[in-house]
Amino acid sequence: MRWLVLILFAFAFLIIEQGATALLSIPIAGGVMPMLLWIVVVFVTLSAPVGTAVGSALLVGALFDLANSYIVTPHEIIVLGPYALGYAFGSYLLVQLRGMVFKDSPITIAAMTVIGGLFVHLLVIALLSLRRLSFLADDPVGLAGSHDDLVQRFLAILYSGLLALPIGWLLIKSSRLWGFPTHGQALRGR
Amino acid sequence: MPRMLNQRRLLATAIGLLIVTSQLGAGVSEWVLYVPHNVLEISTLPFKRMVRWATGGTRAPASDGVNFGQYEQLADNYGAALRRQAYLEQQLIIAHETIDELAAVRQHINMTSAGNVGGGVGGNVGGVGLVYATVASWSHANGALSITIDRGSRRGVAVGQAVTSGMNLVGRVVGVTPMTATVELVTSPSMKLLARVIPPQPGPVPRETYAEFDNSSDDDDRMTAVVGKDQSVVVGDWAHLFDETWPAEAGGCVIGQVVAVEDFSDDPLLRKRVVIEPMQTLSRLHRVVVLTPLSQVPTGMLE
Repeated sequence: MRWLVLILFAFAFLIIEQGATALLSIPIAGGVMPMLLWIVVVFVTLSAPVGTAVGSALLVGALFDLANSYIVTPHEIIVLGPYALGYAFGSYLLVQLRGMVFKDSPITIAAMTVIGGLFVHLLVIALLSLRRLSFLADDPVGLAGSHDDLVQRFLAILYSGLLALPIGWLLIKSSRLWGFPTHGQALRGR
Repeated sequence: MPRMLNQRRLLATAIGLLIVTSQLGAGVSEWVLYVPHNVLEISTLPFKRMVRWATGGTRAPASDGVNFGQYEQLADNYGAALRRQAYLEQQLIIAHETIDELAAVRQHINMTSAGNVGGGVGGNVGGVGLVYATVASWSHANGALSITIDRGSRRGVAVGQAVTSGMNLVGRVVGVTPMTATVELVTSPSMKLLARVIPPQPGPVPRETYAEFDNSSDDDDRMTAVVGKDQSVVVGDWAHLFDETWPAEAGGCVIGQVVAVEDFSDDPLLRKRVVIEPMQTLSRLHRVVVLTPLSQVPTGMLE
């Protein structure tokens, strides 16, 4: 897989996700935004070798962590790890499932986005909740795990699954750029 | 096989490091991640601004609905007139910014200056520095509402400074990079503001109420406070910032307008709930002003 292509797509989707809030956000549950970067990770996971898939998930998740911050009034805190590990966890789970699905289908990407997204947020909430423990960081951030937060995350997963249909179709069309190994190359261990 | 083992070792190391960094305290985390976060913010800012500019007009703005007909109709549309006023203040900010930039250019080529200090950074009014900024992105994540603006520490923006849109309070700076700043909105769930609620126009009988507002409701754009039944608050009153924990420059800024006064469900006989709403939809602002102490605005800086 061409890592430069992954980085370019990741940056592009990050910019769209953060810049096009007026276009993409849905005004329910406080504003629901799709997880565009996760859709890219799902696409890569369906086609790349295991190590590459998990590694790219870590990289893209780390990019998302660095680009976003948690506001703990009156300061802003950057936490590197929750989404990086969440994306890697979700990607690893999808690797186990990808043998059972058609890889070149936008519907597959959409379904995997929703399924994997649930596990991503599960781990993110767990890691953020650990920060509240007194014998660890004892430095809570945000309202991870609250009712409103869970509703918002669930709606974001569903919204991402919906958007994964057109975005997945576009990503499939761009498959040649990515340089994924063919089945033969994969068997030969390249 | 050895390559796979190395790859696995690398992944395992990365995962271990990320578990550690996810649990770092705020101070250590800021020290470690300050530079990469700033580099990412600065590198993506121009593109985010372009995307926001390109997509900002896809949704129709709230209707102003101003009616300049008969006086009676004007009275009926008083709320719409206030929204129109807020829009015109936005335009005034843009005009002031243009004037300041032109004045800075004239200073730079040693022509007679017409007035304001600023050198392209902003201006000043009554001893308060003004740093004009464009909103680059908006976020509602992790229980906080925030916007990112395209001015940072290089322009004198610092954590704790108030951000306004004309006379309307928008929020407070919670994080800065050299070129950007994160502003937590007043409607963020973690915000609590002390306010003085008074009529927009002085009446025959002066009245005022002091209350602490927060956003504990499901509506992102509204804030509520509980006051005694004896307090005279009516729909249409304005809530002005009256909080010592905020910078003095922001004192008196309008937080919102009272849109509802209802019985407090837990104690309907003795208390009532006051609901206020900002004059503008804060998440869809395009330009804002950061209020800085005048000494913090770097002079002689040009675009």
